[in-house]
Amino acid sequence: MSSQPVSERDVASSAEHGEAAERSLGSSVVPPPPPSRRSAPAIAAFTVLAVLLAGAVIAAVSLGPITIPFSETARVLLGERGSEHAAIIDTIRLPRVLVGLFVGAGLGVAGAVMQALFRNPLAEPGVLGVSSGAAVAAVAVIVSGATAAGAWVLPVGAFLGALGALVLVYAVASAPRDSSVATLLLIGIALNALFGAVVSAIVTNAPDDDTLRGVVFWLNGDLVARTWSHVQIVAIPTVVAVTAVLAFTRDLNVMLLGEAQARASGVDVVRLRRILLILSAVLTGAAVAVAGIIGFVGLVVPHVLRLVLGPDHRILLPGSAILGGSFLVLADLVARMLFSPVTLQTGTVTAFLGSPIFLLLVLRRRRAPRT
Amino acid sequence: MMGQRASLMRADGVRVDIDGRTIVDGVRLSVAAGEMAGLIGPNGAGKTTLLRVLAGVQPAAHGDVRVGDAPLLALRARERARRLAYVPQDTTLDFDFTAHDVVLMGRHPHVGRFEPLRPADYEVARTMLAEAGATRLAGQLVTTLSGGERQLVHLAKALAHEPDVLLLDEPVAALDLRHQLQVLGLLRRQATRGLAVVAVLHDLEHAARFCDRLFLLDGGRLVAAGTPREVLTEKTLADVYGVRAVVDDDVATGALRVTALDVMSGPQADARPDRA
Repeated sequence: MSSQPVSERDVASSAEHGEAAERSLGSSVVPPPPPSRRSAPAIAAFTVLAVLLAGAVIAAVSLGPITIPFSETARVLLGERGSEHAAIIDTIRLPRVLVGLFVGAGLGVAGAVMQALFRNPLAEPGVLGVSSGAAVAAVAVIVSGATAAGAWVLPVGAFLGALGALVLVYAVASAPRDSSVATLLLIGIALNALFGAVVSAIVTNAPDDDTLRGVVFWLNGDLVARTWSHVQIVAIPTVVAVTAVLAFTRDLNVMLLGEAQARASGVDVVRLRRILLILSAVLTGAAVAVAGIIGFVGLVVPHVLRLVLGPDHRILLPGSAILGGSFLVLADLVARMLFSPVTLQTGTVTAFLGSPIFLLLVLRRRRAPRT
Repeated sequence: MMGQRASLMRADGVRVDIDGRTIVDGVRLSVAAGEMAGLIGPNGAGKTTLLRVLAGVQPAAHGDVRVGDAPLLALRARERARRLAYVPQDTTLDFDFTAHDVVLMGRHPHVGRFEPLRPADYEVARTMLAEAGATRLAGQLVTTLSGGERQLVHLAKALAHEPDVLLLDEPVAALDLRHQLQVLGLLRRQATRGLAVVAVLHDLEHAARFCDRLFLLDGGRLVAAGTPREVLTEKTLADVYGVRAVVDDDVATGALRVTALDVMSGPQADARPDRA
């Protein structure tokens, strides 16, 4: 990522290179290749990410009120039977970790996609109010008792809530000519306030304490008491949507050039936007349906990856899935262990880590010259 | 010159309304292979909007735009981008791509969704960076480049489309003298190689010196079209720009020289309430 300022002399001599190259074009002599900075680092980075993921999973499954040796955890995860801790791992720790993994992966990818869609590194499901939209729908589904119709009602409701919020944000954000960072953030603030008010109204009128607890859970997301049924709910849509998004990595790169340039570069912008809005709503809805509103994962994860590996979505999107999963599993581990036996909510930890990075991003952008 | 070569870009009866205002009205133009055409006119004449229509990024209320024989909007986005490339005036980018990454994006319309970029695509990107005189910038982040350097990178990206038609919005506005000549010379050479080049230009001497044909817009209408000598007359400059000017031959370049003397007072200056 090192970048030295370019002096006029550099440019002038590059022009001479250019002219030399033009003269020799007939003989198909091409100047020396520019440093391809990403292929080798990318392999290294994915190795690091894979190790981090494995480490995060093993640590999170091993650590808790009862500590299981890492090696034993690894053996159990690889299918060995007869461990005295198999029951703890299988019924309590592993489902929680897997839910964290899929939610984190989904939110990381949803964040990266929204950032490309809005051309704004601050866009993210939580910041834009998309998670709140999903949560309102989820809460409404619970309070109305519609969950009795089947386990799928909740995630579908959350998806529709997320999609509604996202379409609303997009419509408002693209209406004025001024599509500055501030506009987008203000829209997010407004939506979060609106959805917060709706949830408060529902909470106030909750019919009984159980429903109330269920509703409060959504306000600051958590992975407590997640089971295999939650894994099922989140895994399928997340895997499907992440896989689908990976088909559009180069389109997303071109989208960052802006709508006109993307169109002129061969991207069917209207269709792409429609597909991506739906896919990121699927990811957000699935995550919120099982874990409530967990903020900042979609902000922190793509941001860190961009700093190290650059903005190329061919690397950024799969990286965001892996790092997002690892990040949330570790954040949840911290939430459980930091003040043990008192536990924090998972969303509290991600907010602690995410808000400073969010502020840094805002400050960095304000300094950036806009010529 | 026209008629001998195939017309690569043609527009007929183009009208654009934005927020109830007619920005471009009844414009008809045609640019042939091997030609460099300049879109000129005062501020607010509709040059940029017309160029965006030609690029297929701005819908027109009326009119027919064709690339080769195909109606522009009937082409799929990818096919359109293989035939024409467009460089807007504002090329700011908030994401840390390298110049090389941006130029590679010019290969997007040539590579299928599930295909990886081929070595040939990297080769084209490298060649076009060299062509634009921007090889040194290849590894630089575009966020750290000056406006002029970024312009060169986007020009290389446009060339990487390997298009038939090159559309540029004020390609030299941000450049210093040396780079202005470098870029205009490069565009000229692309035309000589058989492309049709259409550029919005502000500097009338650039337009006179580098373009084969000029299209003069005023208030959204095409008021003159033809060779620089036909279009850039003292009378048109007075009518359209509202300036008293002398047009003569520049001994050094052999092209027309336009010297604006002063702003004309009177009806010309006031007759433009719609100018933003």
